[in-house]
Amino acid sequence: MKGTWQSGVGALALVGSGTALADYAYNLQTPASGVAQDVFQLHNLIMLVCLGIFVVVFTAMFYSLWKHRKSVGHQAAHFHENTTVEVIWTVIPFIILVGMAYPAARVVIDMKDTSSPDMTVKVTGFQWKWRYDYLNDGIGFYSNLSTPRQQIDGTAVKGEHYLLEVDEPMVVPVGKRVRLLVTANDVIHSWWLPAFSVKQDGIPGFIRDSWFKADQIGTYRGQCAELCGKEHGFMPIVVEVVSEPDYQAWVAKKKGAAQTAAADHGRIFEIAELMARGEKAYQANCAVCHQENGMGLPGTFPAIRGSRVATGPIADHIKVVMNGRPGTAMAAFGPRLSDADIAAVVTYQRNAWGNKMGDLAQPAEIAATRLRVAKASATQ
Amino acid sequence: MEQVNTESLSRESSGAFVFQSRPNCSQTHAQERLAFRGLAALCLGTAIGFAGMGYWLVLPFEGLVIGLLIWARAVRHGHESDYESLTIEGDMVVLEWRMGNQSGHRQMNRQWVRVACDCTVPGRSCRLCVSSHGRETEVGHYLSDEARLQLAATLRSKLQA
Amino acid sequence: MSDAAHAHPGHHTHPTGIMRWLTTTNHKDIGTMYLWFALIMLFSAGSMALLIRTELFQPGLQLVHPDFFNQLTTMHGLIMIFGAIMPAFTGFANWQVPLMLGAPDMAFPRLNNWSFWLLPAAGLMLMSSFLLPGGAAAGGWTMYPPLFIQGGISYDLTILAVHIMGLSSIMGSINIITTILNMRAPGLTLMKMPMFCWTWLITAYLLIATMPVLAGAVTMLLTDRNFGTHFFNAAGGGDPVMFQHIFWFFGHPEVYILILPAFGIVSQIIPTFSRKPLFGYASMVYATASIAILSFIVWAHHMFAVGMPVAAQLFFMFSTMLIAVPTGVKVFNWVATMWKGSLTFETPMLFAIAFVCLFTIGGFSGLVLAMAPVDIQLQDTYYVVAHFHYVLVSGALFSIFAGIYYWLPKWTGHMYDERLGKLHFWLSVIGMNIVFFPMHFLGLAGMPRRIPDYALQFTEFNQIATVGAFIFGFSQLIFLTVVLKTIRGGAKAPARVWEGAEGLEWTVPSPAPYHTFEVAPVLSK
Repeated sequence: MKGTWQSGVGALALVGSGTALADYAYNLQTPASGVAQDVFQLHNLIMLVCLGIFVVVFTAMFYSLWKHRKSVGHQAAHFHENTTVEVIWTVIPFIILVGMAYPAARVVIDMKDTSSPDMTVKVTGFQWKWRYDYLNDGIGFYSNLSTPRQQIDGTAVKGEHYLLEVDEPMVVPVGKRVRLLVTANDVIHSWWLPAFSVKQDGIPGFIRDSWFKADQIGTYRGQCAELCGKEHGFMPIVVEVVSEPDYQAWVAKKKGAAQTAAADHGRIFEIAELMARGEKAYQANCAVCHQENGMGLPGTFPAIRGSRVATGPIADHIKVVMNGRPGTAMAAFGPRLSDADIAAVVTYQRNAWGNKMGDLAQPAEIAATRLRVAKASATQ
Repeated sequence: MEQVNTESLSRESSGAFVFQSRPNCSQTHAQERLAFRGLAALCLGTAIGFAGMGYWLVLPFEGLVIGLLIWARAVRHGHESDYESLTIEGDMVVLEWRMGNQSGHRQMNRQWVRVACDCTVPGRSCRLCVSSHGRETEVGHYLSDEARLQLAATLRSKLQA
Repeated sequence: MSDAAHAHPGHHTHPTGIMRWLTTTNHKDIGTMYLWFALIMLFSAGSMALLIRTELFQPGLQLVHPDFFNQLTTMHGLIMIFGAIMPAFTGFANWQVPLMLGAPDMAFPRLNNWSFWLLPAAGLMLMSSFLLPGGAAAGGWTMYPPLFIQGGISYDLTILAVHIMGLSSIMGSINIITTILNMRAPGLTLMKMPMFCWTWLITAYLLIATMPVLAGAVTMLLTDRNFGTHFFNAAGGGDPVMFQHIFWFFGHPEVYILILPAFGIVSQIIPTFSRKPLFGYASMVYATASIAILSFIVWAHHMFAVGMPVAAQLFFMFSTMLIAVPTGVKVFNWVATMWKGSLTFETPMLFAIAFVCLFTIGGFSGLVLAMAPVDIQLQDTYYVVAHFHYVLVSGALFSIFAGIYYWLPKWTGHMYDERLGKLHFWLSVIGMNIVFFPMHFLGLAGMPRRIPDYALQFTEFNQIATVGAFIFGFSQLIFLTVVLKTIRGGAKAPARVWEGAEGLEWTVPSPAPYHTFEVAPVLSK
């Protein structure tokens, strides 16, 4: 409430002070790639053209509004056409536009040229997170919003990169041509990074490509730009541009993590371990719809607390989580999560918030379910 | 004021006062046909275009529009020979009219004819009626309001004369 | 001529109360109903906008849930476009077209009644969908699949409402086209018609060409949702992007459907208060027609970010830039009409001047967006929100205000309160710019549209915009006051309300025709 008051006062005062002015940006973000630089300049150019026309038109109009008032006794002239003038003001804008067409077309062609990349990353939009698959290095991971819910609800102070921070950023080496293959899993999303001037819709069932070459090491932030449902405003994009050696080190670390995850598959977990892991996985994947307290949102997203699925046979519960419910917003998490994570989430849902089933799922059961599904589809 | 919206005609011939009017039609038959066919062709073109790409569900809606156009054309066609006329000759007042497939004829005694013009409903057009023996007949269908007022005034003076 | 007493005794007495409005076939009554309906919808969708702006006053979620936020943006868009702006223009057409042409009524009065009464039904459906389980449709007014496939029953209801409003527009358009082509007074050739009639004639053609396409597109959404078809589902061999192509094939002409009648209204008002005929009438007509024709080949500029081949990207970029030429001609002609005139600044003229200035700014941002590479940066950001609100609020809506102030004395017989009118104008024009101008900067800085919460660097401009929104929103209550006051009384308006007004409609008494009759009807024998 105090915050509301303060920002209200701030807005009313229109914040004239120099320090606050730092937040008033009047142009596109600072470009960090060649294409973005071109777009930046193209925008400045067209703004200049607009400004020129603006001055001419508005000068003429306001001169007339001032000089040709009836109250100063101006008598109306009676002309109502003049072919020469009309031809001139049709032709001149046309010439200006032809002049603009050339530089614009050049940038379009450059933007669309995705040939000879140094590396290729497949970007997949999900409701509501991104997945990056490095096709050359064989690594892949999800990237979730990492801003705590408390900051969004206003119970905690908002951090510097509020809503523009993720748990696992996309990492690319500096100065390399990165080709992006953009697609989506459920609905249309749009991968937008202003500093690189890349905005490419991810369309489920189709792959479209785009590219960028980052000029400088640094962290760049963007957001999903196509309405994709409830959490559309909460699926940011963070790209970390690093040096080549740093990039190689990051790749090696990622590969190591993948091996640890693979080792989980054979292990037998304790319930406490599953609950802890399950809570984390639940927060990252389920809580946006079913809420942190498992109560869902009446009419839109069903509750898990006390639900038939979470208190029924565990095999059915696993199936719902893995296969989703087609035709609703409930996605199939089988392809998205590891066996250990699915086992943990199911266990967590059955034993949290007053659900007291006491049973647990092991990664091996999930693997077995996967195998059965694969066999069933193979025999069909 | 000039008679702006109808091809109406009031004249004195051999002592008789004749008022005739028919709906104004600023297009010839050929132009009207062309206008409707042009619209239908526009719809048909889009329909074929999208259906050709597999999005055939535009067809029923384009069909609906073409149907509406055919209906509109038929309504216009049915009213082509509409007219109304009012003649004051001697002691007789004669009304004749045709509206769509209905036509009528009425004779009244000049002495008993009253002219009433009702403009009391805001936002509504005026209603101009001639009545005799408790029966009202509306006239001036194809006129604008101010032309109707003028006709009312003319009729009143003619009836009194 | 009908023999009233013969067939229906008592038929001549006008029905009163609600029946009068339900059964009326009079173009003036229907025009009035369209305008009131539009005003009610303007206030409902406007309140949604204020809720949106309140939520966006500061970062974080304070007032509404993200899903409800999306419902608000979706319904704000649909209701403003189909419920407020389009019906308002149809209301103007109903009132003015017959008067301007010297016709007694519209060509098909009964059809006219039906096409109006479909609208409240559709409006009610849209508004009531908020009460359904899961709330109203939240997939954006553009209804893109697959997102729009996911929702509940209210999505089907929204599709049905769009169908009904489309049908209403089609019937209205057939009526307007037939009236304009067939019922012009003798001697009133097409090239002598008032500009307002011309712009509506062209608008009606656009509606007939595009509305069935929209109906088809949303029907395919409906069958994809409920009957297992796969028009837009990649898994079944369909293509979600094709919906966007079909939608914008409707949607871009729709943009001009929303602005051409505005051009018409402004082209009536500026000559009146400049006391000088419209400059370049013929070139205005040709410019309007070229805008309409070009509108069919620019649709994919709404979709630069979906990833089209280079050739398509270039084609749509060039064709979009081309639209600037006829639009420029119109602006230059308006300025030339004022040039060396004898200007006065009554409220209608003030709104018309604001229209020319601010619509031009919307045109500039349109030119910026036409550059495909720049559009890639600005697509789906607040820059686009700023752009289309400059065109639709200070464009379409301001022209509607201008038209109401201009013709209200004609319709009611009373002058409006000039002081209140000017107050409404200044608050609106200032409020409007405070809301929408900062949005350009938000878009440039990288704030996506349709988000309920935003990063901290966007806070300041959002706060300014919210303050402006409340100024703009609440100043519309002044407008309501002025309209109600004028209907109830005020100084008597003469037949030719404005000194410089030309045209048939001004030879008709004000209001057409109630008060003039003081001199006339004594029943004669």
